[in-house]
Amino acid sequence: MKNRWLAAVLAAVLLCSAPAYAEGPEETDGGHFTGEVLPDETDGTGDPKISYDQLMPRDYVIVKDALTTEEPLGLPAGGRVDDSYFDDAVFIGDSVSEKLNMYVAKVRKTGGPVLGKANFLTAVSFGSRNALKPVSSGSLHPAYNGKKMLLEDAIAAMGAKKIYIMFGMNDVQVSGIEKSLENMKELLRRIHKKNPDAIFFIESATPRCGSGNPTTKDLFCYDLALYEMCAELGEGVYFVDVAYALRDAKGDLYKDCCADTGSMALHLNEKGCKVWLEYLYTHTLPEEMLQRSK
Amino acid sequence: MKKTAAALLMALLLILLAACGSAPAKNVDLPALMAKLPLAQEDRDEMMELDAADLMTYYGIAEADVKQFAALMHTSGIDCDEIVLIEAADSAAAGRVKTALEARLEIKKNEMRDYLPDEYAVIAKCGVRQDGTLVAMIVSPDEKEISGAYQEGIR
Repeated sequence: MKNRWLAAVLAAVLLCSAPAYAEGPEETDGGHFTGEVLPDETDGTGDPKISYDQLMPRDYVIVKDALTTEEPLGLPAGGRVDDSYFDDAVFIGDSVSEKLNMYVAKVRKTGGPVLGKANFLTAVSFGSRNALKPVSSGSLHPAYNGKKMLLEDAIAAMGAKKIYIMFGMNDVQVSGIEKSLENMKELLRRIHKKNPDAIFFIESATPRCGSGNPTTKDLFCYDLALYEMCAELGEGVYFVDVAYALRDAKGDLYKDCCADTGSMALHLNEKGCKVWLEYLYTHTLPEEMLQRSK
Repeated sequence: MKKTAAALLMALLLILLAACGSAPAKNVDLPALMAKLPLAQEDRDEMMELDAADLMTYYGIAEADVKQFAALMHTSGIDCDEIVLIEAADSAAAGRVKTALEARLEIKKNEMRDYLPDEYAVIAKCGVRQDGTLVAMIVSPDEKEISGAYQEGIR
């Protein structure tokens, strides 16, 4: 097991030819970002509770000659949750998530329900880099009820507790992987400070099925490093490997899930959204972990 | 005497002309007008009809400020097409609605400026217009044609 993990890490480093994020876990004044892995506890009956390590194992295997892993990273597959699970969720992202936003809105109008009462904070060309900038007339911050505001303020205003974030597409090409992860960590810190009860669900950046910047390889390397970052941050930060469900055998976006194969080759169509939604419903945090996080 | 009468008649004429220019036609049915706007069916099929709750979600427009409305938004996530027609409850509400739609237009411009320049070019040519208590934001590559039909429809 240990040799397998070391081999996986070595393969990731050689493949990506770039260091993963530089720093270790960052401490905050809250309880979540200590970087410590909680020890297994029992529930008094002698039966072990689920540990963070079980949900976020540190070993993974990269498929040979492909930009994907053998198994999805982060939260494992479980039963399909009820829509109400997402009532206190918010989905944050860029144009890729904007499509999910529009698709969910459309489905809700024609019958729904879908993702419960989850909110969306999405904006085209958004990312962790510009999320850290102050709000201005020219900033890209998404509006909440028509008003542009910082993400941490919008989350507080809507009272969201499950924070899903998918960034990367507009960060990696501008800042590189290391800086993008620094920005993400800082963003999580700011959100956590204003919303100490929030739980983070960091989604992997989805691939593309054509050329462009960032490349699918850039995004895959970013996803691996993002997963490592989440695992080091510890309880309260979970990884949801949406990208895994949308990668073909080589690691590219499934063409039949892509809305713009002839141009940017990265935005999803409705089929892609359905795949994404199914993944979200089946890769969730067990109830006992949700309770522990409160 | 004659000069006084002429001046009074001129003033009356000016008042009448001003009233005709600013007051929109009464009893405009905005949903019916939206249905008649020259949008290609394939574009309509890709657009989502917004409801009253969406006016708050996407624009920050309160239901109380709206007498009637019709609104369509493209669902691709990256196409800029968006048509919002609102009859506000009163002139003060119309001012708030106009401000809200102008803010929305700025957001769309900011998003597309560097990311999708072709979409930005479309948005940059569009604006928000107010005719009395009627406020409209028409964002479309066919904005000129659609706006023309809208203005005909509210006369």
